[in-house]
Amino acid sequence: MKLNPNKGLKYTKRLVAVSMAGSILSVVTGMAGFGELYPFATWKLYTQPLGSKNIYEEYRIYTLAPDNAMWQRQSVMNNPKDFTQDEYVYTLNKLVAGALSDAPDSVMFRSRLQSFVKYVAPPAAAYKIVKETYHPLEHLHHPQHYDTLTVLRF
Amino acid sequence: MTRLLYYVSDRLKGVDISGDREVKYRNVFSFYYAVLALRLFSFLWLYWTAAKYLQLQQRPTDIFWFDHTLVKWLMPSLPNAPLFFGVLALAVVCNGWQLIKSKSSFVLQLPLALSLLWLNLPQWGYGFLSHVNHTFLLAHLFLVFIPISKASLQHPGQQLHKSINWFYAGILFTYTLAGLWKIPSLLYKLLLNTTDVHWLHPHASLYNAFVSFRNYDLPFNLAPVFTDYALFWQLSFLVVVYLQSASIVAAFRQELRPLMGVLLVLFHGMNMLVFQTYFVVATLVLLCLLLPYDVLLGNKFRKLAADLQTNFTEAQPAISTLTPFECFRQRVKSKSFYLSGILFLPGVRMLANGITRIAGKL
Repeated sequence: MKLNPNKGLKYTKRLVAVSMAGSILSVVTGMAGFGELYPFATWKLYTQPLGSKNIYEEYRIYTLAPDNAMWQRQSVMNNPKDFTQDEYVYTLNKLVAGALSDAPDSVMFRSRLQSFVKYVAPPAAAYKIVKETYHPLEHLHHPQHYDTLTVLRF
Repeated sequence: MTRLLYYVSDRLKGVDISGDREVKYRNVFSFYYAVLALRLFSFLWLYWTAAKYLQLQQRPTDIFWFDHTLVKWLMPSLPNAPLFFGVLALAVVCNGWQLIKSKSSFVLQLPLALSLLWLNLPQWGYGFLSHVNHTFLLAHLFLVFIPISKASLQHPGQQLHKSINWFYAGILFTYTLAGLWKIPSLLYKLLLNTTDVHWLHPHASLYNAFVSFRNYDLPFNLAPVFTDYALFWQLSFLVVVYLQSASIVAAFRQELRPLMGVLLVLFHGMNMLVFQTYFVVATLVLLCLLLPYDVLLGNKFRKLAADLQTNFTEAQPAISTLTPFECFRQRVKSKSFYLSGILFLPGVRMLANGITRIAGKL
């Protein structure tokens, strides 16, 4: 079925206008802390450079192998599963944030986090989630200069 | 919003000194082949999506969740294979049928757009809306009400021509918003005079690149590229803000589209290379939609014009009403339609007219 061009134009204009309004609304709701209501808003706006606050925090999985007394840091890129680098980092961040929150569903997030960790990390006797904090410029020149803090252990 | 877009569109039309007929023919011709390219690419996208789904099936079921109530209701768990591949087959049929028939149909495009949205959802089901594929999905959504077909090439109506411009407005608006939003964010930081590293700080791009690489535990060897050429990156930021913000103008200015396409693809390419920000599907969709098919398929286009006995140079405006710059731009355009695109970038006309006026007074 072919649409009448007049109606086609009218509906296309409306569709585009609704989409634009949705994008703008999402920027506002995102800033207000309600999340993005419209999924086509904008992705990685980069309104500020990463690390712009001179401090950057990220989470990493550490594992303790049964035959090893040393905790092993798990690299994002070494995960053998289907998680892309973006998926890995965003899912881990989201799960850790949920597990550490005071909200009633933090127990559920903790359980999800365990499933995720056991899926992407090699089998281990114990796991921990470590928050790594660094100053970008200092860390760049001194790769060993960053703080670690264990936030979860299981 | 609609009123604002009308204003932009009318302003552009107000300075439109081109042969109206030529613009319509070029627009419809290029868009027809752009849709064809998008449909061919859609098969590849469907293949990727099917392969991704098979991978997602391996993941633990309890880590599939949506924060959004609406989406949670739509897809409470990873759909089973018969359902997923059933919808995928529907998308293949809807896309394939429109491709074979060489015409877009509302009754096929609507289920196709909805199917693609649904097929993409599982990838977003792990705690975040990644916006991956957003340009691709939007392109199919905005196609729903555009009745483009092979027959349109012979009769490119005004309504169809305008619908196509609005289609591009919807796609390019995502870039415009991303660009405009950086301006208040930068001003805010500059006015507050904080110790934060804003985008015009000499270390800004270095920070952004280093943290991106570190985020993915990748070795970072690019530091000299940023420290030795800090000014280049500062200027690049200003160019990117201008380019992104201005991109919507190309929706109503076909002359600008290939140029804007090339610049946006370069922007994505640079982001992939030095900032680990991957927009592969968006880049491919931009290529599908913004290539100058009337030039690439020049023989076909000229043959069409000859068949229709169309003289594209017929509609010339009264030269006396034009400024010297506009006369120059018109001359460039009559020689090379798309080369003149650079002269249609927002601000160029104002700048040139200003210089002409100052030069006239000296």
